[in-house]
Amino acid sequence: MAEKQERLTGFSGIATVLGIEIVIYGLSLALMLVPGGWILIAEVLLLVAVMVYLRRNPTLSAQIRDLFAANARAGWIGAVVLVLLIPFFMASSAYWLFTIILAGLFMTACFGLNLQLGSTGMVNLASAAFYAVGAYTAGLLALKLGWPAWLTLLAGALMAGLFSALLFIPVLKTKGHYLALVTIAFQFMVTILLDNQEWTGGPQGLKNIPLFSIAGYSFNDGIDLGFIVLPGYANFFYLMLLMVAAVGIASQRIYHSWVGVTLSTIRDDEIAAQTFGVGVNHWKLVIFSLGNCFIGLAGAFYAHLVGFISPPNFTFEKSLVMVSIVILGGMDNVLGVILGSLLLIILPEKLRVVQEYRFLIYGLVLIIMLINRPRGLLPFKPRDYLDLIRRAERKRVVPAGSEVAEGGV
Amino acid sequence: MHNNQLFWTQDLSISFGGLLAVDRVALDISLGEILGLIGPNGSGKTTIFNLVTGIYTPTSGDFFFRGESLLGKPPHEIARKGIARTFQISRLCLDLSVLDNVFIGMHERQKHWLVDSIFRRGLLADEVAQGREEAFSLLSVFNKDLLDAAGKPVGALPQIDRRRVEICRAMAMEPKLLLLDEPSAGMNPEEMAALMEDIKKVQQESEGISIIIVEHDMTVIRTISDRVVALNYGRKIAEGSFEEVSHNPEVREAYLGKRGHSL
Repeated sequence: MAEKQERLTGFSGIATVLGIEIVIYGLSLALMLVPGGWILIAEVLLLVAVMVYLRRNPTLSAQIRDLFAANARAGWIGAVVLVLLIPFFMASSAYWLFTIILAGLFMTACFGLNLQLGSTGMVNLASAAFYAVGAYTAGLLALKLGWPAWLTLLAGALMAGLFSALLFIPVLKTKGHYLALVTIAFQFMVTILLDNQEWTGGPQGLKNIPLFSIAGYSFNDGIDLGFIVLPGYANFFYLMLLMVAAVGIASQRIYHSWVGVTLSTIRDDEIAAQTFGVGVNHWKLVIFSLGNCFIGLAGAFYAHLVGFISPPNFTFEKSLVMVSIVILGGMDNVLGVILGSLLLIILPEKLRVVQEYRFLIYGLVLIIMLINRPRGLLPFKPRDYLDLIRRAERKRVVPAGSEVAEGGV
Repeated sequence: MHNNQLFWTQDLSISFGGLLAVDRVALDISLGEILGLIGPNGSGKTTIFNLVTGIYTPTSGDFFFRGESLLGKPPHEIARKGIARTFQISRLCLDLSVLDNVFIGMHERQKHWLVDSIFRRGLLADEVAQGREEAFSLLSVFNKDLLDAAGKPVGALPQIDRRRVEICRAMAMEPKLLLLDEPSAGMNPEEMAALMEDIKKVQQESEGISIIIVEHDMTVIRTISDRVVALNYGRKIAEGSFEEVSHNPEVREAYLGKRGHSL
């Protein structure tokens, strides 16, 4: 037993975990950086082969799972370092770096959508509209009032949250398909309004929105490190990581808390929730607004990333992509949202090699995945609370009075 | 008149499109009492539960809990006053773990809010650890096996254990009044007997709790209730001890009919 533990957590265990991570990382980078379609085909075949092999050998997959669980800390540190290094491999392919940033924006937005759709069961097909509210708020404030970018980001998020109030009554009075229809209507209203109002620039949209700059440092400049010059997008990439980390951790903490349990109960059975004292309406409004804040934040970031926004950026199709990300990745699963965003934003770019068949293949992949894994790639799992309970026990062991920080993060 | 009563209804009525589902029913229950509610299908038993938990609003009449009228209050506010219930058709969240299902019963006592869930994990850790202990002691009243299954999704449990989890969830609210809607539905006689034992145990462990139980099975009603109320077509037709009610001619005719000889 002790020997087994030793084997899992010792040097070789950590090396195996990091090795697996590096291989996956390398393959993902190669997928983007190697030109041509053959790499995609080769990797898809490899993935299918590995998955079939793992399914045939449940002991091996269980071993791998144990290994990652035993070396969770090393695994996380390794993953973070690898992610931080991405711009170094993308020094000469800013296009892919931009695509990754875009995937990060979708992650942020879909964390919000996941709170609504995945956690609480509220269908929101107007996510692109709230994305637009965030983007236009940021763009207008920066252009007309000259607000700095960090402030317009906040304003964009808040404005999207406030706009949720327009859907106040339908959110409370309708459910499921009916709420979906109402949000679709809202989505079209927003796009049409943006197209027809003078102050939003009409079909031309908003041009020359200042890109990020903080204390005189322009995000558009490359980072010269002496031995390598990172493209300007590297700045945005790191800022995007910060945003994804903040919103992702917040989402994960909401999921893994009393609030998460409350939301799950509302999703599964509103009447049961009410019977146990849950103010269902209260929570629906809070989560609908909070989710839209996240979506609006991503939209505001987008405005300052590309500097030009117009109505076609915020159509119903974008809402559908966001919903697909949540459903494909796995409802009520933060890691699922990350995986779903990477797949659904990066793969279509790779599929550009097959030109007009792109969306055909994209649709096929979606259908096949949903047939095989109807609950998403990373489905909802019952909460275990292990880390919280361990934390409470640690605290109890510390003699009373010697506690340093109560509460804390 | 109602000085000792924990809960009572006054001329409670509801009609659905002309059909009087509950017709001027007066019920009352005192502290620590177990009241059996019987009646044929469609006699309004579950409807009464839905009325007094706020899921339906009465057409007329009123109901009082600890001297206060709860008429027109939404379900979650009524729950917060201390009325818990189970459902005839189980309303557990099947994807959630046993523990999470019991946790929702503690919703009212959970202090932390959305912002705390993000920034004050220490507070949450304490509450979860304490809630878990409470949940475990509730689950262990029933069955030690339930403790081992605490982390499993409820959907993986057999029917009888689901009922038990449902009762635990209701008890986690620390209610003053517990409404059990056909707890033994879909169980065989042995399971039913075990469940009745459990309910008695629950009542003894939490002194003073009052229970209203809707049941079709007369053995259950006979063994468990202190007093019985019989309904038919939404009206109260008899009230008293099980013996009195079961010998009431109107009850025999309306409810037990040809099966009357089995009593």
